[in-house]
Amino acid sequence: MTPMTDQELEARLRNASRTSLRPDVHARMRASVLAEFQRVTNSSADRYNEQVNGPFHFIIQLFTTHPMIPALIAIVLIISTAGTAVAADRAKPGDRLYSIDRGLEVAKFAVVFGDDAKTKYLQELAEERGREFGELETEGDAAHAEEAQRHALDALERVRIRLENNQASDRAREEIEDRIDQLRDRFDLEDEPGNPTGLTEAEATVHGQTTTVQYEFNDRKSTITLQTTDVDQIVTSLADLLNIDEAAVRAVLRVEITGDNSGRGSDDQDENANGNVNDDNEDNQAGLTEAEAKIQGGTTVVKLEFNDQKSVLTLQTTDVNAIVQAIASNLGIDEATVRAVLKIEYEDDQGAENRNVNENQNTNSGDQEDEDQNDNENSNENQNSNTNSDEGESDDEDRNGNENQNTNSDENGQDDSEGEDDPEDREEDNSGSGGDQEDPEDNS
Amino acid sequence: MEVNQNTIDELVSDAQRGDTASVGRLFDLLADRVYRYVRFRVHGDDDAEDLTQIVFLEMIRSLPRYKQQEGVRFTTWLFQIARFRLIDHYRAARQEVTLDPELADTQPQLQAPPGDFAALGSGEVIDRALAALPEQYQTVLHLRYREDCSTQEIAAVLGTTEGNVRVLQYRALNTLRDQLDLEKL
Repeated sequence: MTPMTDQELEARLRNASRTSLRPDVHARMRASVLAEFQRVTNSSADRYNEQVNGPFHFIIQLFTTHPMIPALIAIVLIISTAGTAVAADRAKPGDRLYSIDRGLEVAKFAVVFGDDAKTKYLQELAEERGREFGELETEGDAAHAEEAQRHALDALERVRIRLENNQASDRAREEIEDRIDQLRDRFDLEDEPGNPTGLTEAEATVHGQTTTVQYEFNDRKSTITLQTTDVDQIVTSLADLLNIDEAAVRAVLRVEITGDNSGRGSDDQDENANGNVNDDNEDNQAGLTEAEAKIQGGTTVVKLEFNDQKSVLTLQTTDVNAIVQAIASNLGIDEATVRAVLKIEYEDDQGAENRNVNENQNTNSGDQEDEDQNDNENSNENQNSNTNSDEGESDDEDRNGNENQNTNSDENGQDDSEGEDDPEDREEDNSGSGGDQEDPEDNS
Repeated sequence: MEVNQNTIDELVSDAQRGDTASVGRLFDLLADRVYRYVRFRVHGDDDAEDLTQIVFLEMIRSLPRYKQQEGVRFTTWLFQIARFRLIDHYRAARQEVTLDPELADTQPQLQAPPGDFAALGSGEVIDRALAALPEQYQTVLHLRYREDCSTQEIAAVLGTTEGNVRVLQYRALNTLRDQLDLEKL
């Protein structure tokens, strides 16, 4: 007997019996299976569909069969979101939606494009806080009014920084500054913050040909010695040193004069002058009861009360020693007496334009007209001629821009001392007015 | 009954979406094939029917996790379930048998117990011989020649490699041949 080949065996396997479920068994089993299927799908329909079709299948199917549903949902979302945003926009500090309001503002700022738009938006935020501040104040909610004010000031500060950084066009800047000024008025803010430069105190003490300035900058006290007695130069030097505006220096600077005049030429002069005055004019010395110098740009107006007579002296200089010398010369008294009485202060905030004009005139002294040169060279004579003149007679055109106001004072001194002083020595002394400044850190 | 594979795949998809009718249709198409797979490997029709029902119930519970794959038929997955339930049945039967010490040595491991061939016709001797083979041989031959499964599909059901399936198929045919020769004696 030969064994079956693989082909025969495979054929027999394929043609084996086709046993089937009996119909009744098939029906019963089918019913059981479908019942189980219903039970499973009904008991956990969501899970079943989620497992089968993924988490979003139901939504996709719903959207497919009901295409209006997505549109309706979108409308509802837009309305509800916009409603919340509008409600939040009206929120004030203390309201539940205020934090949402602030969050939306931050988000909006992020999507505002352009320097102008961003700066303008910050200005609008500041105004909104201002309105909220007013409302809260009216409601008597001081705590939240303070919060609104704080946020408004924050926004204002941000606007100010952006304006300083030129993050706004000229046209936008003009409008924004107007609105900001109005808001500042609402908060009773000064145009300039208290002292943004950090310089809170500056006291210049003139002694001889040098000036010692004690100042407090950013809560640190320092001292600097300048080889000049010209108040304008003192201001410029300190402003340059601290990298702040000269107006900030002028706002706090006080000038004092010691009786000691240690300048070499001046010493001789003082000795001579004091000797003469002491010998010959004791009554006159006692007669000087008031000498108040107010500096306006390059001009100094000195109010004097001498022997119960008041007079005004207008000088085309800001140099302290020159002022002292001019007063002493004008009244025929010694300089020590003048120093003992003289007070020097800035009349008001001097415009930078005048100062610049003065400086330009100084640097272009070679082109000045002869009249000006004569005025400059003979300033003491002019000063004397101005005695008892009204303050209003001081004319910028008459001011002689000096190439160096110290030089001017030297010339004045030279005139007074009639050649006893050495101009070269003076120039050497004065040349270091800017470069020989002491480091405030070292002096602190 | 030849059934288009795409039809089954569509029915499966519909069933996964909760369509009860598709489940009924799937049962109609596949119930006899599952029943035949288990019929001659268990004692009597009752066990075969119970196993068939168990297979379909598990199919329903597992249907959400089923993912159609390219080149793999749904029936491959279904026979995999059937094989596991059959093995469970063998293990349960063996534990029951081992309770009787005298019969303990008569049950080969995971080998199908003999079916009730007395009721079968003479043309069904091949089923009797097939039922005497080890479980893996039975599965390979059944799926290969009665379900026309590919080597890849059989390997998926058995959880082995296609090369191993070819070896198993070769050995199963030789063993079946020997078994049939024994039947003739």
